[in-house]
Amino acid sequence: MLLASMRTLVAETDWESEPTKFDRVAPADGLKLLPLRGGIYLRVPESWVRERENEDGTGRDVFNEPGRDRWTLWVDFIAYGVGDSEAVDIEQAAHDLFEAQKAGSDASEAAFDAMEDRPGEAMFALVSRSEEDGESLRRTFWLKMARTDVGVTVATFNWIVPVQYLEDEDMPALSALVEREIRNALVVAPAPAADDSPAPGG
Amino acid sequence: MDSGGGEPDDEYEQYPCHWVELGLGAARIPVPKHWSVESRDLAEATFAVAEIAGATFSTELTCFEDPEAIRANALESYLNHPAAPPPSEELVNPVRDGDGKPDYGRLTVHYGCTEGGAPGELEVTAEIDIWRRVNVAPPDHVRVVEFRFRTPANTDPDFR
Repeated sequence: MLLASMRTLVAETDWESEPTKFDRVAPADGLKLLPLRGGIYLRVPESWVRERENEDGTGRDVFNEPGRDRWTLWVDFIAYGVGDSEAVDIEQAAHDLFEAQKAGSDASEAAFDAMEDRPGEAMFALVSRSEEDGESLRRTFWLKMARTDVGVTVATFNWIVPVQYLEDEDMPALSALVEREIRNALVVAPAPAADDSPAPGG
Repeated sequence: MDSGGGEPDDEYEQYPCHWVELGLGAARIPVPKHWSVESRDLAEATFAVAEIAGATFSTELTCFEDPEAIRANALESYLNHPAAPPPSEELVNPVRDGDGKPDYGRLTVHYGCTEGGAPGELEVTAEIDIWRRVNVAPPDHVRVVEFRFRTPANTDPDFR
């Protein structure tokens, strides 16, 4: 009896015709999907290994180049609960943050992306140079802000490459891949609402 | 939200349904409103089937970027279940579209499985009906939804 009804549910399943944000982080040839601390879904090359900042498993997520250590990617996020997340102007909030961070930094490049193709999201990038243990580093900082069911989540990404490796043949393509995947990264509330779907009227 | 697929058909009219979105709306599944949520994630949801004690209905969406398989219309492997018997007759004789190619969007594969007790024991503790459906969002994206109807082994067959 119920089995026939189950078949009906299966048969009536409906699909979105256009790719969703979730489709855009789907595993692909050479890329795997990692859910990072329940708030960020990021696609990275299959050879990458995620580690945590602290030995006890806490802190930011960090990726280092397997074997060669020519770059480091740090990933972190903060989720804010907001009573009415729809009322938050994500683009304006991210732009205000962009202007403040740009003014307080020595960034040589700065770019804001209103992400009109991804409603409810906005991001910006700041590129700067620094020195660490006598080594000159190029740091690209991305901040991505997204509206979620229960508030706003802010994800940050730091892509750090020693200047001596910037001219390596594969570095431009790798940096482009990182930027593309950060733009596609899914930023969600750490704990999605249990029942967030409206009824179809049935 | 656009309800997309419209109302559930006559077979389930007795139970008003709502749509449960998986993968931020990539798939929308009608689920009777009176089934309670046991767990919910971005791409998964499990419900307690109110009509049978201990029974659950689970759905899980998995997405892939596989333009080559879409171009070649070679999506059979996405319907295979790693822990189930060989595919059903429906997969062997798939629905064809106007050009004679398999119409995966209308194809549903059904597997019957059982769940055992502790390792080494032969006792069957549950029966599981598994369906898989595949959908394509051209040019790159393949989606697979797996549905699992799990009933305790002692369920009266007349209620299944």
